[in-house]
Amino acid sequence: MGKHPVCRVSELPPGSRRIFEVAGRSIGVFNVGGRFYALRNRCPHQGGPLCLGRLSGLVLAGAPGEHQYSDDGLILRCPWHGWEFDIRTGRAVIDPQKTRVKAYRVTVEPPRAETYPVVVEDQVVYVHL
Amino acid sequence: MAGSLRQQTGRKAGVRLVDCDVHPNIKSIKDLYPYLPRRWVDYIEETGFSQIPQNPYPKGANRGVRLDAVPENGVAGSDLNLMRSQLLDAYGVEFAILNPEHSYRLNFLPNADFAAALASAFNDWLVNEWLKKDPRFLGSAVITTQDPEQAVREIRRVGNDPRIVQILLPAGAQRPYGQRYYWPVYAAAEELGLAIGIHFGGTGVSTGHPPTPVGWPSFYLEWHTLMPQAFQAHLVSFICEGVFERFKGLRVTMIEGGFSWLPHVLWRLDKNFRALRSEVPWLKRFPSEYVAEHFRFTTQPMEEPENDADMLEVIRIIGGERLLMYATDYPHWDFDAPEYALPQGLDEATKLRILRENALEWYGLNGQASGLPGK
Ligand code: FES
Repeated sequence: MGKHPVCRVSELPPGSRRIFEVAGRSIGVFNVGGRFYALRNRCPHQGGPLCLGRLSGLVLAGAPGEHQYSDDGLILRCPWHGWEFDIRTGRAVIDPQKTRVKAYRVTVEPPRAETYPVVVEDQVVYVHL
Repeated sequence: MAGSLRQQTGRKAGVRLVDCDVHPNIKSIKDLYPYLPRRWVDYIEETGFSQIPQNPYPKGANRGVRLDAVPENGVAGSDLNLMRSQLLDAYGVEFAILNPEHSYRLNFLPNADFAAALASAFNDWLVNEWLKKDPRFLGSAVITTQDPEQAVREIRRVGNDPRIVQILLPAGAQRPYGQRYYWPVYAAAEELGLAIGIHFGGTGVSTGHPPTPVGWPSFYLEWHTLMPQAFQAHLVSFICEGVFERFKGLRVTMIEGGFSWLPHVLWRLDKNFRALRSEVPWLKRFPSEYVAEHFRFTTQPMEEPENDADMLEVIRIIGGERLLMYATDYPHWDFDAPEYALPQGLDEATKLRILRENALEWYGLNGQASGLPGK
């Protein structure tokens, strides 16, 4: 399936996201604090546009009344029914073994000459299908 | 939990849908000013009234709406064109029944006259800003029952418009809906050929009762999950009070209240009826036998058991091929998409009934072009 250039790094600053059509698939690419993640933009529940959802943190508790908050910005909540997915793995928080969305590897590399003109010095974000 | 993809229905199967629960919304209370008497506009400005009473639970996920349904300027449900493209055109909806957001909670304003004026304003706003603008829209006219006489006047004022097919009430109520207090409302609705639509919500609001018989749960998760209790109370009340012996043509639509609870409630009710019949001697049939003729249930939010066959069994037990009517609840967070909502393995004829035909029959839309319902 190969690796696909989607944009320059400067076009995806920390805290932003963009949706790309890659090889016929809608894929959301996220920059969370300088790290890049990519997920299929289609929720496994009812097909909602998952990557338009809000990024939040993971709320856990060891016992009733506790509230542990972690992984800020790494939990993606579907904009339709609010199911939570870990942006790093695509797995649903509630049942990670059974419910998941495809997560793609993302790399940042120098541009290939045939894709971007040589005047561009900026690194390029690649999504690996 | 349904992580599994569900079968394709709706547009891709070529069915022209009837969506029985869609929520247009006002951007702010000011949208109603053109339809309010000056006395009440002045009252709102004077008092700073801005919010129709709500239950106290923050709305869990996504502020209660599909985030992609929030227009750039405004709130979800306030943009006609977005609703057209995201719902009507996207899914091939032939008719959509509009139940204005917030409006039914006017039943929990303490001031009966203010509530009635706002209800009238909502109804005129609905007709002018929505129903007149797209022939696929049909509407529910809201009433406030703090003063049943005014409610009846409102039904008579708006109920002859052919685009109004239903009277809207909230699931939360001051008293069970079968009681005689409400009968003038049912007389008017029956006379005008309007269904009574009871919509999810209005429990635990303002002047109303706590949202459950045991008081206030802590979480929106509980509040939402337990909403069917209110629907159950109303259904049993309608039947036991003899409403359908008095108003033989009355139709009640249960909107967003679930349906998988029907076997339990009706089996229990029928069993009790064998011993306790003399309390309600006006009933001529077993209680459960009134349901098929007088009630319909909208599907959303569809229960999603692990095993779709379990849902097929429930649908078989309750006679769902006649009782159920598809709804999306657009633009709310618990929206059901037609291509996924129904359980896998449902036969084509039943699917067609649920997605379309049951609602056409219930609301008298058969053989009618969009926008010209016959009642
Ligand atoms: S479509 Fe994503 S949670 Fe339902």
